[in-house]
Amino acid sequence: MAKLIPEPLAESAGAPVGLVAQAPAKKRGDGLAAGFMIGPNVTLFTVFVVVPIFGALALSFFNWNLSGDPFTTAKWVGLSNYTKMFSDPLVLISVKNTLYFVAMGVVPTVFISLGLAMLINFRFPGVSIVRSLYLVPAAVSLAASAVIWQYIYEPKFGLLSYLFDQVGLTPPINGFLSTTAYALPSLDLVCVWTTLPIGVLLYLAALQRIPASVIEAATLDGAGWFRRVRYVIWPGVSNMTLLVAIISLIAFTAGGFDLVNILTRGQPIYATETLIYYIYYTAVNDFQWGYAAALSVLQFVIIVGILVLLVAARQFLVRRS
Amino acid sequence: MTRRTRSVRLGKRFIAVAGASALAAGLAGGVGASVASAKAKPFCTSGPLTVTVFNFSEVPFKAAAAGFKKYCPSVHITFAVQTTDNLYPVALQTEKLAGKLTDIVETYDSLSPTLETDGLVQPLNKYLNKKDFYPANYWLKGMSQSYIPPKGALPQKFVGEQFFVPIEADATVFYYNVADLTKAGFTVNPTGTTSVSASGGTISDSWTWQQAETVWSALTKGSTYGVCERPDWQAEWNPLIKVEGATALGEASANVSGSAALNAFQLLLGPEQNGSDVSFATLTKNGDQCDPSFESGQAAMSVGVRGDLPGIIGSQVDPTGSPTDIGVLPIPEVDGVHPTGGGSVAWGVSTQAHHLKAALDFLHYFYSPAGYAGAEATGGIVPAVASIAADPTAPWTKFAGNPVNNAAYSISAASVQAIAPQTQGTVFNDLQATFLINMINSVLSGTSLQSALNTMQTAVNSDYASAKSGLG
Repeated sequence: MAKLIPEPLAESAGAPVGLVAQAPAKKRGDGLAAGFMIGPNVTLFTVFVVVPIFGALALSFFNWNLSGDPFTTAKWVGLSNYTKMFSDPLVLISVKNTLYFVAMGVVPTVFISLGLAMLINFRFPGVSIVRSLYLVPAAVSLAASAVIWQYIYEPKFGLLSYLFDQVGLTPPINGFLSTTAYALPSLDLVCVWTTLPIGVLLYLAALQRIPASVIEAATLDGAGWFRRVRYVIWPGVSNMTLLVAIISLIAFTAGGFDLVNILTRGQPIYATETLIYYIYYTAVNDFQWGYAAALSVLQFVIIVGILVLLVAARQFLVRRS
Repeated sequence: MTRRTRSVRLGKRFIAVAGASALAAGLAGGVGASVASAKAKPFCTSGPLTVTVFNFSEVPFKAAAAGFKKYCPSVHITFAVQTTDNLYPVALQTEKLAGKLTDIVETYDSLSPTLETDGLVQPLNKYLNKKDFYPANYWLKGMSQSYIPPKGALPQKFVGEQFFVPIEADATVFYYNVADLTKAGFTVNPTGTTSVSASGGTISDSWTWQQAETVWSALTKGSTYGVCERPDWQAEWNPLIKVEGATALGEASANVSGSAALNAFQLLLGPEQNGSDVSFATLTKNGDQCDPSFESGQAAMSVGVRGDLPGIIGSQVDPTGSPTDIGVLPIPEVDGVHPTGGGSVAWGVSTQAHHLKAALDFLHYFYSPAGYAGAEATGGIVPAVASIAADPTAPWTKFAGNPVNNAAYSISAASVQAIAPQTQGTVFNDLQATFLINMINSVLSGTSLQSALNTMQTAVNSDYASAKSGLG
């Protein structure tokens, strides 16, 4: 039978307010049951994630063009694929573009998601419908979204050009996606649009776990809207912020490929050449699987580096607060 | 600590050590190999390279590519051959839409603005002048000009950017039939002094236009005309008007009826009016080309470029391919300057070049003396690189079929006065060539030259206006 624990303890433990079940004592056979339940998942994860990761790492030391048995046709080249990156101008270009794409995408995604989640974190008639509508971009496939935005960005008849005209701005003559200065921000906008729903959902969940009593107390103490956000809501969702940032980071580094491939193919003049697209082109178009694997390792290192920075930044902020 | 925990830790440690060792061994072995290869092959990467090449450039390209293949076997070149008709830009656009533009794209001078504004090629300034490429002045200035949109060109952001690097120096010269000249009493002494009359004399590289007219009249005998000139803005008319002090077809406006144009056209139309020039009607039949007239023996002298040489060898004028049958002279001087026209084909790097390093490496090799050697050996190439074009020991100067006074090509390459202007719509086009023919026919049928020029000016102005509105 579940035991009652005091509400403050439940909150501090991150559990829902109210009745909380204490973990029952371990029984014989639990390990077997657990293994049976997580076994398939671990197997699939190993086969489709862990093995490819180490496979890619191994492949990066070989040259292989996909023809024939890799164990007999792949040629050992040591670090050549890595040293080649230093003389390949497209690597630097694509890394810069990727970092820009991620930075200009993740930060707005985090803040806009939080803002939108706060907007719908109220009970009002039709709230369910509004919340459902927020999920539309996530329900539409990325390819379909790209095609929709292609029409929005169309130079002569596109919605964005029309809006530019309406506010007295001159849209780029060749279109947003064909102009060096606008192309990458335009892709960022699409990616933000498609990534927002998951951010909003996560933030909404986090917001609903902040006790209303805490916000009420802050209000009674004279805290205005900004102070409530700054000192109550923002710390209350900080764990979720890290999660949203990580998910966005992955979405922007990986998801950027679909958009680039459909909308710009790295154009104009490498303005949207992201690392993931360059990896794809090198592997699928040029059959340089070894070099593509080395580039993938580079991308992995970059993502891990950013994640480490994110975690460190969060810990710094937590300590500071 | 339990036994199980200790064994798990030991297992983890073993995996970590084994992984690190394998990685270290792999890296160490690879570093050695890669460092060795990097030292041995500067300007040599690995992977594919794709090139679009014109059909008439295929032979010299293949020769250069074979040299590059030997130098850098780790780059695999594939190429597509295209013709220079109106469908060429369309084909490139289609490739661009499919994301399949080749890394390197060939062009010719007057086509380059179209490829630039269509977003098919990228500016090269960021690669030129870098330590791992060549400086912009490595190429003959007169040839590079074709590929640098000047002030006034649209779009404005392209001004000053170089989009292509010229392959060859197709500067105009006059080919002559040695036998015809000898028969008429003329000899060629390139460095001497020109002294000519109707009964013969000596022609040097610094002959003047007036002296040339005397020679052409003297060479006109029977069914053979003294000269064949081309009603072609780029080959003859633009440079001569420029030497007279005006720019005929500028970036923003045309000047084809002022005093400079009048003086130039008087010189250019003189041979036609006195009957020593192949008639324009014949030229029109020949597609405005002089080569057929010269090669068939209908003209004793004709304006042409180095690219005509392979065709001339083996023609009637030079049936045995003997270097002594034909000769070459620079364009005759006007006011001390050779009014030389010029043009070229050139390489550009496409906006979708995914093998940028390989493309730049290939171009680096191609424009080196060793890279050019194969292309030069095919006979139709005077390198557009200043140092190689002026080098008397370069392979192109040793070509077996070289004409008498081969050095005249170098003089021409270095003295190009005007090339295709660099604003879309203002380069000589079919319409403007038609204006020119109409003007010439009008003069030949009795209209005064000034009046005919005024009519042409009005037509060209209208063409400029429509070209600009089309861009706007």
